[in-house]
Amino acid sequence: MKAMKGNYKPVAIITSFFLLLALPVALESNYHLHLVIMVCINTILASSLNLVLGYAGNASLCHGALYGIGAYTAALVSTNLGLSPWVCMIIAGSVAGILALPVGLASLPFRGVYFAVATLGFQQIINLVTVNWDKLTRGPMGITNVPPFVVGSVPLGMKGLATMSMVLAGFCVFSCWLIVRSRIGAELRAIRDNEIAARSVGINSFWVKNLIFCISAAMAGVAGSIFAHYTGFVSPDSFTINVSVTSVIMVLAGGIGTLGGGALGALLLTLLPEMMRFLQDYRMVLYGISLVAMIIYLPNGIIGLLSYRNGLFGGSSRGEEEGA
Amino acid sequence: MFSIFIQLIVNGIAAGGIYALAASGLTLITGVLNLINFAHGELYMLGAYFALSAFVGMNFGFWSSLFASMIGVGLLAVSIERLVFRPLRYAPPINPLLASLGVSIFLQNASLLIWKARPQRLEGVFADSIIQLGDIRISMQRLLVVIVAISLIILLQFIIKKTWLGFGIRAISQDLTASSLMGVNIEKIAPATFMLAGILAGAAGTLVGPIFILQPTMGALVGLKAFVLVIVGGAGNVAGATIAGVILGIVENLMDGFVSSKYKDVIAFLVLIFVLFVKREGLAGRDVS
Amino acid sequence: MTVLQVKDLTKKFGGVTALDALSFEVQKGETLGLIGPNGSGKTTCFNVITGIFPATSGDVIFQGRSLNKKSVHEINLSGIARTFQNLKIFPRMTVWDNVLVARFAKSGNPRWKDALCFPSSLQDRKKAAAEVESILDFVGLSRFAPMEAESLPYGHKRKLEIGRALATKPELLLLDEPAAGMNTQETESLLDLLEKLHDTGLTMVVIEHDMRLIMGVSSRIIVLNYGQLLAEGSPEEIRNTSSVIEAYLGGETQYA
Repeated sequence: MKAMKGNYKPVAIITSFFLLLALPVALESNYHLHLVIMVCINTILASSLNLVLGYAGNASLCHGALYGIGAYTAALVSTNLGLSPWVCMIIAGSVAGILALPVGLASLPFRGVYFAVATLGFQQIINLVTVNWDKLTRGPMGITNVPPFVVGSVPLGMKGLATMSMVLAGFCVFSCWLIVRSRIGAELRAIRDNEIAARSVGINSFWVKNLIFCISAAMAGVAGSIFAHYTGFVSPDSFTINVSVTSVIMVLAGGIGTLGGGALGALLLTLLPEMMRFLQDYRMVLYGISLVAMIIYLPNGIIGLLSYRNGLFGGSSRGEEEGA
Repeated sequence: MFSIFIQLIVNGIAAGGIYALAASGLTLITGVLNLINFAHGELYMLGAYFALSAFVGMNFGFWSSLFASMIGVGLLAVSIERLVFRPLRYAPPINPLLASLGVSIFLQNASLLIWKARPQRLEGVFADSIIQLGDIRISMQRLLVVIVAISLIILLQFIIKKTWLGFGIRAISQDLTASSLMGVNIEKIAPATFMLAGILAGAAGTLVGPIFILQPTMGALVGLKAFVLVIVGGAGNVAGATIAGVILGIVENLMDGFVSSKYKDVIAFLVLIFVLFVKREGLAGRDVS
Repeated sequence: MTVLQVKDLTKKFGGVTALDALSFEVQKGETLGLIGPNGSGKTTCFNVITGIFPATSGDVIFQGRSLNKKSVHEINLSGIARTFQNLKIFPRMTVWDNVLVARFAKSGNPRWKDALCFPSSLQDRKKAAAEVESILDFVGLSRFAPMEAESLPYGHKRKLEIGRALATKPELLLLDEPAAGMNTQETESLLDLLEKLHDTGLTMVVIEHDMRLIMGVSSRIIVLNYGQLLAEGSPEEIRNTSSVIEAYLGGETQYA
């Protein structure tokens, strides 16, 4: 089944990935390595959102919360139970995926708009919980001394962390590729094109949408756990609605419904703010403006500009009539 | 014990009045224009800040500040409609939702830059004067909130039921195509609706200014709660939004007093999820599944 | 043998009664024509049978089992497939994928195995490819396989929808105005296709306004009016029933 969007050449991609792996070796400055790590974490987060927003067509505004659930789970499990960060990563992803299930079950029967609102409610509830449930999360003070990634008993240095995060990000994108080109991907596209018709050919749309939402949540949770073990510290401020919105911007900018979209968006939204440090105070103001501008003028993101294929919103601000 | 209960209810009614003002404007936007506007809370917040600037910066009296802020926020709302929502009038509904999110972020952070994060207060008209009825203390400020809120909402209902503008609003909320065929021009109704919503939100923000502390983030929660009220009361239903708002205000205050003040904000979101779950027609009775 | 039994089926939308204690049966292998003036409830009938709307009262029994309270996808899995009056293909997928995606539900190829490229999944994929190819061949769309469905000419889109329905391996196929909007040539082509389908033994119910098509393809016809069964019989009988002619008086159809 050759139904991949865009004109990616698999060999070129795999080759460039391995070439990119040389980057952490080549870079010397810790600052640059830090950027690499953050781009990779954001790639995982953005790609996870792309599954739900881009391929399934459901605008999730709670990925910041899911990311946070992963981070807090990893932090709590590693500091309280002493489990290795690698194990915590798996636990974090699972917890996020499981917690997403009731959210999906409650919200997915609805059209995109109300789904977005329901996920927004979930995001705010999680935020309130992380701030207020001090017994568990230590409230605004956050959790410190989250153990770092180790090989054997030696903590990974920056180069090691950068390589590790690149491998993880690459693995994540690869998983997305597997999912998208498989049965789920085709079913999601059918659901997105016309949900009633998809159901009429035997596709259990509710279940498929929930499945992809939970997979996406698990991935976001994994991203969160990497963040937790890398920075060593989690607090409610890192997982607010701003993160959810930033992830949405990443997906929109990078290209909705494309495999590279998450990575490209993560790259842009991690590096550009760094390059424009002097605009730090204006960062969120600019985010707000760019989100509005992108919705109005560039609904398909930057990749959309390059490809003749229509993105999620039909290539323009004009909507398409949905069959009743 | 009983008097505490009554006290909380009284305070709750005042809070409810604020919610009602915020939700009434929003319910019109949602019901008439079929828009989910996440920036509404920011209009409320700016109502407070505009009044602050008028009152403190330009030495207006309280009532003039109220008036100025209502007009100011109203005009701002109109410009948002023209700049952001008009280009997206015929786009899939998720687009204006995301765009409004962008507007919300923009307004919040721009306010942060302009007025700084330092919490500020708007000194009220009646300073701290209080009416005492037995054990119950009603601050004049809160009483003012209730009076102004009631007046504005009655005025709003009048506009909707008796004026040409209201007629147009009601027509469009029922059937956009038929209305335009009858000569109702959405390009005029839409900005007018936003103006009304902005005026009400601005009033709400100004009225709380003396009671609570001003912060650029004060709009976020209120905006989301207003949205819950719109859903519960039914989109386009001003009376419904008002009643829901008063109930929410009372319940939150009771929760605050008797249970826990930390989680009182969660009520609104739990209600949201519950209502979405139960009321599968979503807004305005349209089937959402 | 009765494949489908509609028993006292009633569907009300608020004050409007779209179906009024409707009862009829569909026999195995027959092509049943379903006609009636606009608004007589034909599409609603299909919608209730396929689970899009729940019935207000009455029942639909398919192969001996009630379809009551089953969801749309479950009903398809039981063996009923349909096409839509206002055409619901997957516009942004290729013709090939439109048909392929309909085949997954009954393929026994679980999603996780397919994602991980298990050998059993790869096997099933090969089988699937062969089946899709033969379906596209059957409906005459093989040439268009890699094209985006949206770009097809209208008549071909209608055939694609039929092909997609066939991929779900139905026992009963419901066709809702398959010839709507088609020109004479396309309608001829459709007639051939429906005859071919009939020859394979597939049971079908066809809603149509094009009388030539209906009379040509149906072994039996039922007529609906205001949600009730007006008449039932062979094409010749129906053509000459006065109540049917009256119901259609001033209507848009012509008798061959």
